[in-house]
Amino acid sequence: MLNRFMQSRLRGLVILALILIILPVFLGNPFHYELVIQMAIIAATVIGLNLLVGFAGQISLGHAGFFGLGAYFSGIATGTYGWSSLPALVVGAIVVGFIAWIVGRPILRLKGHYLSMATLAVGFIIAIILNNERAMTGGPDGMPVPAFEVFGWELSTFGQYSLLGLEISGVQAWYILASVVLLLAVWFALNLIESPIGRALRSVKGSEVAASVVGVNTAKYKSLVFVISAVYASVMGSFYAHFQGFITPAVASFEFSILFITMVVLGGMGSTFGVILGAVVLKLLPQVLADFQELETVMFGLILMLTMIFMPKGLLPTLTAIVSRRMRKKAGDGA
Amino acid sequence: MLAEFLQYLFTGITIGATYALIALGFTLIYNASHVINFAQGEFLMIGGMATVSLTAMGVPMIVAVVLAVILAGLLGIALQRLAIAPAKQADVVTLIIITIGASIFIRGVAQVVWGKQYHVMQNFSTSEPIEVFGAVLNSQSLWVLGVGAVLVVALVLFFTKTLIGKAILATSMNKEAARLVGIRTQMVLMLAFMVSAVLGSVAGIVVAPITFTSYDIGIILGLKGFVAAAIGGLGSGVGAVVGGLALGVVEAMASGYLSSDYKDAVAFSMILLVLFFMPRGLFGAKVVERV
Amino acid sequence: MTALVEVKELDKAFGGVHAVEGVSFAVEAGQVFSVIGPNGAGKTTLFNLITGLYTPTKGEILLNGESTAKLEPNQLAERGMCRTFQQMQICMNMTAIENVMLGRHLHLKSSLFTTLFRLPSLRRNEAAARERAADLMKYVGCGNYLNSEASAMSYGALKRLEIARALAAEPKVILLDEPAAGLNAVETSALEELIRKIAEQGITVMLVEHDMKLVMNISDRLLVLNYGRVLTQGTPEEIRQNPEVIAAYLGGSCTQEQFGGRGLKHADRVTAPHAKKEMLSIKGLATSYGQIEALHDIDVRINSGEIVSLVGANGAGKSTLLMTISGLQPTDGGTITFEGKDLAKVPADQRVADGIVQVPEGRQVFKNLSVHDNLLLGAYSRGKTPEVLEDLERIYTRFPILRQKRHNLAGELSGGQQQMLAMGRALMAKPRLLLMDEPSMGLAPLIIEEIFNIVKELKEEGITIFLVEQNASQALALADRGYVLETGKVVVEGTGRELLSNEKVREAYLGM
Repeated sequence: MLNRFMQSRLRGLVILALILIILPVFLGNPFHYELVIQMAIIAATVIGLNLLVGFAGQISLGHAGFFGLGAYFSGIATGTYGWSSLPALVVGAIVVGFIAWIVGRPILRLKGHYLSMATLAVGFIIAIILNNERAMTGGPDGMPVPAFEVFGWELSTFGQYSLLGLEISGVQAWYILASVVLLLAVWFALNLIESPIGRALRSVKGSEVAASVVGVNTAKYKSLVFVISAVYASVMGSFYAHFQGFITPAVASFEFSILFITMVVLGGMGSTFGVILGAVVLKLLPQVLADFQELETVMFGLILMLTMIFMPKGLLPTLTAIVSRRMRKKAGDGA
Repeated sequence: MLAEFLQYLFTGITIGATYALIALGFTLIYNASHVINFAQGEFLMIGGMATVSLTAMGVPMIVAVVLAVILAGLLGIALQRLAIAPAKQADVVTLIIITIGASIFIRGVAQVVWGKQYHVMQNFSTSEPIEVFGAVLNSQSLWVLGVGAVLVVALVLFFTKTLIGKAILATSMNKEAARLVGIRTQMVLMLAFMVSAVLGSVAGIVVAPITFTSYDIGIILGLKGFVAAAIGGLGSGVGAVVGGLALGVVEAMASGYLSSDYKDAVAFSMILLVLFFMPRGLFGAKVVERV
Repeated sequence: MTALVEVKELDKAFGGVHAVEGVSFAVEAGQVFSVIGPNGAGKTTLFNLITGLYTPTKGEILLNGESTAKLEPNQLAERGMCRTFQQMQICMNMTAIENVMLGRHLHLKSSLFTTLFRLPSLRRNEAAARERAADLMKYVGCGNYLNSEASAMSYGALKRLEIARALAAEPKVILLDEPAAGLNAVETSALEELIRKIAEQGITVMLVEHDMKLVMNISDRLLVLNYGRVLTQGTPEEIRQNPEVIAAYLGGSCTQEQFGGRGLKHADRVTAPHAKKEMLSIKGLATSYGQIEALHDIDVRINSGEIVSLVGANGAGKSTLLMTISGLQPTDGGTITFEGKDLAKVPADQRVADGIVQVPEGRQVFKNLSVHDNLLLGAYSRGKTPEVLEDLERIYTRFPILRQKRHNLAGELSGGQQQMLAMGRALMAKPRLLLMDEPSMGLAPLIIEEIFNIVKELKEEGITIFLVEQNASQALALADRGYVLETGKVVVEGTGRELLSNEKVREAYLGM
């Protein structure tokens, strides 16, 4: 029974859950927790982006725009208008999904670099609006966002909570929330990929012609995956805003968009667990490189370049290929 | 009224000429290798920064310019040899990330060597502004336009009159056939990157007195060049020039008549609008996909 | 009863060139309907028009009486039309069975909600689809790839996988574009069996195919295309008897009895003037595209002053062999020696400078450069010396049409003129060994004749020629010696005359 389960499609999800359960043992201080929570939220965002880029083969260089829209929607709705967090998050996701649908229909007809250009432009326009509508967004200085709150129960990073008789701090409570959100994001993505819809999406990347002659309406599915990935970004943007307690237009910036897409490509396009690894590595790298001080940027650029040149398929797919080759060789030696 | 309009027009054409040169650089590399080089803006930065720092060290201006251009050219070759060539089978997105990695790397080095502060470069000739119909024209604008025009003419001659220029065109049209007539396509690629880097660095040098220069000036200029190239249609030389000038003028008009906060938004809306009606830009090639 | 597929006065032009012109025919339900014709006759274009990938310039296509003019390919699939491709369209980012399950797309509706939560109904449908796909894979004969990635499959298996995917859609009519290309004899006969089984299920089959034996065996009706137009249509028996068809296929105006090239009697053949000095020698050559082996253990010898022809069906590896000689396709094993020098480490550009020059398949001229520039680039390896300019003058004298059009863009030339340009460009490199890949493809008989005359002249000037042709009889009539290539292997070799009378060659080309 257990054996069969470990063979099944949810093996990766179980391993991820185990890692998330064990991880707190190694987290010494609130700063560590904060880092991991950010990683989880951003990983969930790039899981959504990966559906678009890795599985459906459509490039987006402006995805932070949707992340930023979600963050600001939550920030403004809860902070300025006093909404409760959950409705703000849901309505925000619906609005962003709708915007993505409107924007997606014309631009997804574009191919290759023209699509990169168009998505980049959309992201830029969103960032510029957030920067300049000072009355609503506070402009480049940013705006505070209230703590996450459900049914009057507030989840603040400074709070103290008790869970099943255990005293936990605010960051630890956030850690649990972020873990659950990440696991859900993975579960939804895995379910989506292994389904008729998922095959249609992947066929758009594999061969758009083949897809269309077996009856796949490729335009519809491109729109759908664009909307889904935008909704992922919006929801995670909302969580991010509540967790940080303060947002600036940087969350919607071109740099952030590039960071997202880099996480996807570095981790491994089309690999859900790969892009989580990509998010972790790119979030950790600056921490590690901080010791190099002024050489930090140089090292970062160099590592990024070298990894992509020598592992063009991304970290996780390359690593699994090496491991399975080793294992096959070992099996061959044994026989 | 007229003076105001002319003022915006001059500003627009000047910055547009710079965009056009960057876009031409994109076009060259795109044609030769189908790579969109996100490190294109760094060539401008290298041109401007190297010239500034060399003149500060007492090197005569003209020598400084030549050295800066050579430096950028070598960098272009290095980029092709060390970053693009080894990854020849990589996906489009992967190549984008590689050039982004390269641009971060170059920017990082520039930051270490030259620091983070802005640098000012003197106008090439008089710093006295010129007045035309009430509009005030920075004398450096004339340098930008003049040098831009010279470079465009030089490029046209290079591609129509020299065998090596034609070899680059041939390679971009049909790589296999180019190899069959004995063109060393690897050389052609290196050359394309080098010429592209030279174009970028010259643009960076002539525009530096107007925009100032710093280690991170390449990001936004590079992106604008990409926008200009896409407006014109990737791969079209005429498109790059037209796209660059159009972008510059529209931006200047938008910041003059609408709001300078939204000038970039106007630029990016413009590209969306163009692509909406012409999915391959104004002059982009129409290709029939064969199955 | 109306026809299942009806095509009326169909026209498709690319630029000014008509790929398909005034084509009309009707396919009755339940038929096996084949479209044949030489390379470049417009067969694949016709299929692309029928399946909605191209929009016709003129004319109309009816599927079950309904006009398809406004329908996208996926809407045609909904109406029961499915196809495979000459250049296979397999999703390499999926497993083999997922590719087939993709074919079930139209029969698997599930909402986003059901999908995200993977509700039991979806699980049931998926399991059923998987089972169905597995059955289909076994049915088409790739049952041993049930757990493979698509990228790990052999060429022949991928071809069958494409058919399985099309069948998964439960089509009324299935269009197969060159399903036998690149398959060996055993695989081809398995394919024949499969097509027959499909037809027996009541599915209408439309087929584009070069393997005449296969076509003749299974078709109810045939349509013969030549230069984009209908040459004739009828039953296999009628087509077999039709002298025009034989001419179109074998080239020139020959019939079965008179098996020589047009205007070239065998006695005219120029015999090699020099002592047979070996120029190019290929031993044990192998090469592959990824996992797919394209050439296997090839031995070919070309003596200086000879014309050597290489014939064989589409996908046999003829062009691959030329690309390997030119140094564009890397070798996996074996040696190529040119005038005693091993070419293994010689790059492509050096080979051109050494005198190995290719006229590639489909001309491959630099379309947006002028005729003049194209010719100058031909001499790229020699630079722009006075001697080159003299040679340019000579080329213009040989091809007066090129002089006339010297300032035109190469892309504006007609097919025949582009072929002249491609040859002129190659000659500018001063070849000693000229590799020619299908110079007659898609050209009118008069122009073909002209081209073959030029080939003969070149030989007299002392240029050694390695000629790849589908136009077998003309190529062999011209040749001193020839090789027949089948699925990457040399199966027959001999003098041109021997090969012309060889049963195997005739069978491969005419299905007789």
